[in-house]
Order: sequence, then structure tokens, then C-alpha cells
Amino acid sequence: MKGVNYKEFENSVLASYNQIKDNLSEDDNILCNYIGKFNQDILISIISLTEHALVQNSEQKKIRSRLLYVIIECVQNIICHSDDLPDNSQLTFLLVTNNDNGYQIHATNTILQSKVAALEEKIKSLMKQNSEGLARLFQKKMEAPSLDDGGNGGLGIITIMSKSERNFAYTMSKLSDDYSLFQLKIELKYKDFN
Amino acid sequence: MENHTRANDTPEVNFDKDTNTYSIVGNSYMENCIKFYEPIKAFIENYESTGRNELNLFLHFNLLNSSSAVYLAQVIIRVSEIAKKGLQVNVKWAHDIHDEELLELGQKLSSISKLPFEYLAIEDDE
Repeated sequence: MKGVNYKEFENSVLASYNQIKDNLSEDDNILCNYIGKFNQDILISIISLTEHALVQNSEQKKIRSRLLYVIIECVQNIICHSDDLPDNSQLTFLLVTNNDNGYQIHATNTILQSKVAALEEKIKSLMKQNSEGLARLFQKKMEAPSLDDGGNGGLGIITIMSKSERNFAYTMSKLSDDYSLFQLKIELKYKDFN
Repeated sequence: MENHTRANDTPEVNFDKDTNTYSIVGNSYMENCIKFYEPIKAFIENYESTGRNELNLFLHFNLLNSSSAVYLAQVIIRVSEIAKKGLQVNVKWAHDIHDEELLELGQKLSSISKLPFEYLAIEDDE
């Protein structure tokens, strides 16, 4: 595989995944955990299983909906924007946990180094927006969508930020000369729903 | 598109010719929104040619992704355009009583299209 040592790549992604899992405390429960290649059928299964678990846990309906919205946007962001390796393989993950404070969603994308600067610039610009600013941007994109991005509307990150009340953080780690791992951490805090 | 069967990630679409009611009901988080919503937009654009003078739109979503919101806005804007030409349009926006965000989305769509919506807060089944 030209320019990519797959084993090293795999080890780096797994190290990121294990680091998150190792940092979980006894109070954290894993609600959903998937690692590998994502597609729409897998998203449907994740939504179905997560919804079932939330109902079983008697979670409030508005929190259930909010969490499912965020998971949909995270996974579709992976499906649409994660760059496959040259052999068409993909190794990304989604991990959803719950504790007394709320829900934490970890999602990763592998992206080409050539796209890193533009993505970071876009995210940093969005992170400067307050809730009203994000709502305005959302409405503006609905009124005049740019359909040059594969029909995706470009609203995924705005939606994730908005629905998490801006409890949104990201890291960008270099995996190889060609690829970086874009890692999102999103929180839905119970206190924001009171 | 007059009719479409509901799936996990796509809503049911149905046109009742007797009542001129076009309903879209269910989840909308499909991967390819343009493929799903373009035929709906085409149905609306061609509605005038059917000779009908009324359109009742019934929209009831559960989970809806951001791309669907964009395409739905384009559909609603088309509806408002034919309403301006004299078609009588009624829009009912049903949402789960606990889902304020779906209510807000309906309000945004109403604001963008300048069409009045009737809001129905429903206690959805588990």
C-alpha cells in the first residue's frame, strides 16, 4: 500500500480507541461501541440498538432524540467525509458512554493530510459562534444550500455543535505522512436539559 | 413521487387523491437525501398540471438528519411558490410533544417559506 503502512495505521487508531476506553471510570457505562468501516446499514442498526437501550433505561424522550440526532450526524459525517485508505479499507470508531452527568460521544474520521488545514479552519470558525449564530447559519444553509458537497448540505458539524449546546471538542492526530485522525468528543449534559 | 413505503431511515410518502393530502411520515436520515427528495420536489412542481386547486400537506417526522432538513426546505419553498399562484395550501406539521427541536424546525420552514403551518403536538408511541 503506497505511502501507508496499514499495521502502523491500525495500531494508531486502536491506540486512540484504547486510550478513551482506558480513561473510562467505573461510573461510565458503554452504550454503543463500533469499530471498523461504517455504512448506512450499520447506522440503522446502531440507531435501533441505541434507541432500544435508551428506552430500556427509561431515558427522557427529549434526551433520547437529541442523542440519536447527534449519532446520526456523526456516523453520516464518517460515511461521507472519512477518506478510505488506498486499498479502500477504513478503520474508524464510534463510542457512546453514559454517566451521572450525561452522554459522551466519541467519533473519528480518517482524513487526508491535504484536507486538514481547511477542515480545522472551518471548525475553528464555527466554534466561535454562539448558539444563536449557529442557528442563523443553519437557517441560512436551509434557505440557500450549497449542493456542491455531494448533496450533504454541509450542516453536519453545525448540527452536532448546536445539539450538544456547543459541548464539542476535537483533536487532530497525524497517523502517517498522508493521513490524520480527526477525533470528535461531544457531550450531552443532563443539566442542559433542565 | 406519489407513494413510497416506509423504511427505517426513510419516511412513508402517500398522496390521497380524494382529499388532496400529501403526507410524509417517519424517519428521514437516509444516506442519499437528494435521490429521495428530488422526486418529491418534482411532484410538487408538477402539481399545478393536475388541475387540482388544493394541496394539504401533512408532515410528521421522527428522526430527521440535517441533509433532509435542507431538501425539505426546498420542497416547502416550491409549495409556497405554487401557493402564490393561487393554489390553496394547508400545511400540518406534527411532532412528538417532547421534541422541541422538530417543532422549531417546522417554525423555521414556515418562516423560510412564509407559509403558515398548523402544529400538532403528538405523544408518539415508544
